[in-house]
Amino acid sequence: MIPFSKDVFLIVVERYAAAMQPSQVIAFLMGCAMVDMVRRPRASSSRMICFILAAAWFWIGTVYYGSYMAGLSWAAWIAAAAFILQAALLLIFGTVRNSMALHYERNLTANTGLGLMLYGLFVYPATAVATGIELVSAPVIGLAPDSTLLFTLGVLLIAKHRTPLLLAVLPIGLAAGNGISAILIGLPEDYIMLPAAIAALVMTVMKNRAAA
Amino acid sequence: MKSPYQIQRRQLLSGAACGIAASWLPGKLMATPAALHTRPIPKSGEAIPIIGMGSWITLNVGDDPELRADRLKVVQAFFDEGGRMIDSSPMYGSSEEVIGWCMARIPARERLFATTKVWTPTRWLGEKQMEKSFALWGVDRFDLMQIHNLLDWDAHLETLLEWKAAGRIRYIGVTTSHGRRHDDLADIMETQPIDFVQFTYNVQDRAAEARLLPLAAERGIAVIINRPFRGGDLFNRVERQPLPPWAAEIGCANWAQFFLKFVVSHPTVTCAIPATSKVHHLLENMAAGRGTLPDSAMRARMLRHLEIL
Repeated sequence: MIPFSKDVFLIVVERYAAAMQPSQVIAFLMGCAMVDMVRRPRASSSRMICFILAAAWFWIGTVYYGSYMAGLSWAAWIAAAAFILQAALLLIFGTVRNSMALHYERNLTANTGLGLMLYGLFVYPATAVATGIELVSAPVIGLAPDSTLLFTLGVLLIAKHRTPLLLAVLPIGLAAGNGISAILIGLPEDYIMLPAAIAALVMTVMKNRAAA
Repeated sequence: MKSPYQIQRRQLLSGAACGIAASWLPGKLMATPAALHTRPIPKSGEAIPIIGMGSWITLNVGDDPELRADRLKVVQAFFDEGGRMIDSSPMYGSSEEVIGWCMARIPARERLFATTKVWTPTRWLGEKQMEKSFALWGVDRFDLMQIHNLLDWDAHLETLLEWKAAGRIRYIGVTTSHGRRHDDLADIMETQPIDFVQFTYNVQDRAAEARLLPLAAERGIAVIINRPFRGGDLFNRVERQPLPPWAAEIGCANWAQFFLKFVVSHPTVTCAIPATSKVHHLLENMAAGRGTLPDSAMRARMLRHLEIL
């Protein structure tokens, strides 16, 4: 029961991306920096990654959902609240309490996490560009919800030991919801969201059980 | 949900017939279409055209100026064709705001039969939501206010009765769709002083024939039909199928008119509200409200034909 058409949705996304220019370049570079911090961890890099992600989630919640999408669907307000809440959780658990060690180690879960981070950073925007969106308007992490969701799911899987479940609930739930919406309105580039959510759920549960 | 592919199919199916019709119709006739059939609202006797306009998805275009200008043409064409009832809901995103924006640009306010819904829990929130709808539409009176999907209907009904008595709304209704909650709706129809009901009815979804339509006739309640094309699914069902030649006997030039004429020819149906974002589809829809309507024998033939397909 999505109250808008695919065409109208794409126009709103295009207008948002146009208004954000040239922030996409900065956001993309921040994404690259986060990947580098995960691969070559330094003091406070985990806190820094969570801080950047919190800022991204807050921006998407307030501007993308709260301003641009709210006019099209009442459900955008729920998404806005969820993104702002996740920003707060990332800030509290990730930055203030430093409860995640975001250090990449070669294993299946971390490899999947790194894959999701790279997909959100490179492949997802490239897929959108391939479907006709201008490069400068590409849905990069930090500004667009789905690439940010994929990237965040990846970060959570990379966390050594346990991933705080409170941090995983919203990204997994929102990714699943966006994946189902994509199927309903016919956005093939977003079909990845549902399998990504399922993979993140299964691997987070397995990882946390192993760490218990 | 209507996909672009469905639109193309429908265009393909009907385009040839429209083109042929347009080529021989006298210019004067095309410029001033015949009046739409009307049906009386049982509680008042006021007549309204049997084809209205829904706004689910189609008018939810936000504040994009190009899309609004595009939808303005659709709304303008609706009134040019003699339409009156536009139906919306706060559930439909920016649709109410877009309707208000269009009505501010079309000299048809006196013809508009403004129809919306209240869709929120609690009486207090309902009042706030309806006040907002007045502002969005730019009207100081709604012709019809409906309780959407029966949500907290008993709380809202008290408000609606008060507002009707105060002249802020003219008629009260209750809606459902997709064949849901027919028993609950029937209970309300049997016990509450409502003027309208709205539910889904089309050549495929005909559960309403068993109870809701006879009950509406018995209780003198006007009937609005939503999803007359089943959200576009019916066009998939007849994809690449030509209209049967005998459809011309009831003035059908395309499948849209076939489906709509079936719906509005039910004697208890007051009005159907197909939604579209395309002017040429709107013209097809409106034409279904003119000319011969199928009788019961023809309606049975229409159903038999679709069963064969």
